[in-house]
Amino acid sequence: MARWSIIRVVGAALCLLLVSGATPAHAAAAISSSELVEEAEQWDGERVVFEGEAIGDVMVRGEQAWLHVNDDAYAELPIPAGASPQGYNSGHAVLAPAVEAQRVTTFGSYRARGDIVRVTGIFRAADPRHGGDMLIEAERIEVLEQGFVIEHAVPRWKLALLAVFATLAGGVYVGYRHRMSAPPR
Amino acid sequence: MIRPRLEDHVLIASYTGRVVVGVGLLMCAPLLTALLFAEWEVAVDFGIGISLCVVVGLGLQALFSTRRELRRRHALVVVSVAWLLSAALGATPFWLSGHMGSWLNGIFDVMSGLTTTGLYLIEDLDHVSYGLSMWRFVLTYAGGMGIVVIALTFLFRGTVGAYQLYVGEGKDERLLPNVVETARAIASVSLAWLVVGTAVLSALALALGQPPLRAVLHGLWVFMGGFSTGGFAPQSYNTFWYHSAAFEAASIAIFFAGSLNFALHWALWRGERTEIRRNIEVISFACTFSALFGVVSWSLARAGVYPDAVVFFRKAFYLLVSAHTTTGFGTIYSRTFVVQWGPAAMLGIIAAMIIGASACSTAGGIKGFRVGLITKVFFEDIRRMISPDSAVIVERYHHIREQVLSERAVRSVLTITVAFLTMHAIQTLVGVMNGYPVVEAMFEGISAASNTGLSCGVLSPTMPVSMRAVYIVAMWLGRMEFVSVFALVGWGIAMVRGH
Repeated sequence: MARWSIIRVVGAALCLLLVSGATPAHAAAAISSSELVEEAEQWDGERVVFEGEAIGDVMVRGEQAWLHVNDDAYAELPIPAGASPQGYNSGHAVLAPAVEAQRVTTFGSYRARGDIVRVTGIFRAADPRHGGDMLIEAERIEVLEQGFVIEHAVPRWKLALLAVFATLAGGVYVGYRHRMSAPPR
Repeated sequence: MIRPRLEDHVLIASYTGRVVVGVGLLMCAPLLTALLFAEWEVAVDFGIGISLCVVVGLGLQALFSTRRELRRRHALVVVSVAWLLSAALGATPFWLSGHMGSWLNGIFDVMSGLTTTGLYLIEDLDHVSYGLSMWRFVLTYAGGMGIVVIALTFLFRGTVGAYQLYVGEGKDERLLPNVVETARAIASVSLAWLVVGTAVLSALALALGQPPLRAVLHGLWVFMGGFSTGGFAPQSYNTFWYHSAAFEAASIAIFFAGSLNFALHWALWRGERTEIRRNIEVISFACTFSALFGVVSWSLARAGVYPDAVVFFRKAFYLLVSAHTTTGFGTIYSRTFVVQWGPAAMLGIIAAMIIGASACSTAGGIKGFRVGLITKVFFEDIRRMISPDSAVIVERYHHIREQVLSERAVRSVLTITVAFLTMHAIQTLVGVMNGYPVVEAMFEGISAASNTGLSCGVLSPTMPVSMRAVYIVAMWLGRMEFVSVFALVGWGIAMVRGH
């Protein structure tokens, strides 16, 4: 009897998956932006899971909104927060229902590390409804990790360097004024 | 060959110092931006940069004080040296920001900005401060006008030497009898466009959903990147960030305007509207653009990337105008050129970058003027072949006024054209020797040498040092149109072998 119950539960779960036509987002591995660009035709029209840092701003246009999600080396720690240079930014444009997009509250900039989000949606290699742009048409956006404010303190060595060069510049200016008032060679 | 004397070196050092002080003055804009947004560390970076420029610039003038006027050979060397020194000093805030892997990468970005190329090696651009962003756009806007033009506008009083400097920077139009007034006219035209263009782009960015402050900044920066045909953009996504046909249309109008000859702007400013349909550069641009649009369209239609006709037109038109005006704004990912567009469409874009736009504008490339003249010479030669020996054939062209096509002008045009084509071949060869496929190496190398800035993904901060150095030299040569750089090399040779 117990064996039949297990089979029913598993069967029901499989049926649910088939009906929804989706793989649970948390079970699917996130795809990278470079994979999507390099194999755009292969992924065109496929449901994908994409994770990264929301950057810049969200541009709400009616019931939809554009946002940009970077999955590069700086998604965890940007350069202003102390990371060393590790290459260019890379990411993807995401078109989402405005309600989903507004879950994201912090966007990456000089002052903040943006929210880390998981986007589940359909990849479009060149969407004719949106000017042929390559995009992920999001069905769901989850915030995996809240963004944070980046504190900026001026390092002492920079202040010292400024003091040295500013003093030098002042000295050179005095010398220049003196030289200009003298007859030319 | 005459060996330069001490007083020649003194003269060059003194004038170079003035231009370097000009670069220091330009840094005041990002410094003020950083202070306005309370970016204290960035403000300190620019404080150090300005101090360095003052030390070097005023130091050179104090040590090598002279009141002699520049001659042409001095002026050409001053322009070359001033651009190199400006790139080295202008890299200071980039390097201090931590966004550069090396000082060389900083020099690359400054040279790219000043030459209005638009390629970049800055890392983590999407987390860059407002102050450093402003520096990128000030560089490209100033580079578009010409840093010497700016120095002429603000630092020089009417001198004979000023005209020599102006010509040495690749600008030879005298809009007004006095060259300093000409430089000020260029600055006035550019500033008028700045106000109108920024207002339009900011309003659009606001309507597209950007917050007000960012909309204004993006409007200003995209204008500066567009009008200078530089191609720098505030985000790593370039103009793809905005996802808007209206924004793309406005940006095309701006970078097309930037690619027009300043003399043409001046003629239109004075109400001479017929100039736009008679000018040889405009006609040349229209012909080559139409032909290349056919090539790119045919290639993309075969590849079947954009099944919708409107979308197809929007992408192909935008990127081809961007390439032909040597702007470098892009609405696709860099690698999309390789992965989706394919080699035939890339060759169409490459041809557009090679030709470029107008002379005495912010654009790069061989220039429509030269392509137009070469075409005229070609047809003139055919006419000579089929005409009787006694026939006298005089070829004319219209550029601001009717002009006779002289042998001297043709020789000069061919020299520069051959120099450009040789440089493009070398750029491609260097890329191939470093292991990149031919079309990709050609695309990226020509993009740098023609001061365009479109990328197909070859350029990266970790690219071999030799390639980064070659790209820096190519951007510099392309912007100077060789003459000033050849003069510098000649100066060096004369120092060693002259009598």
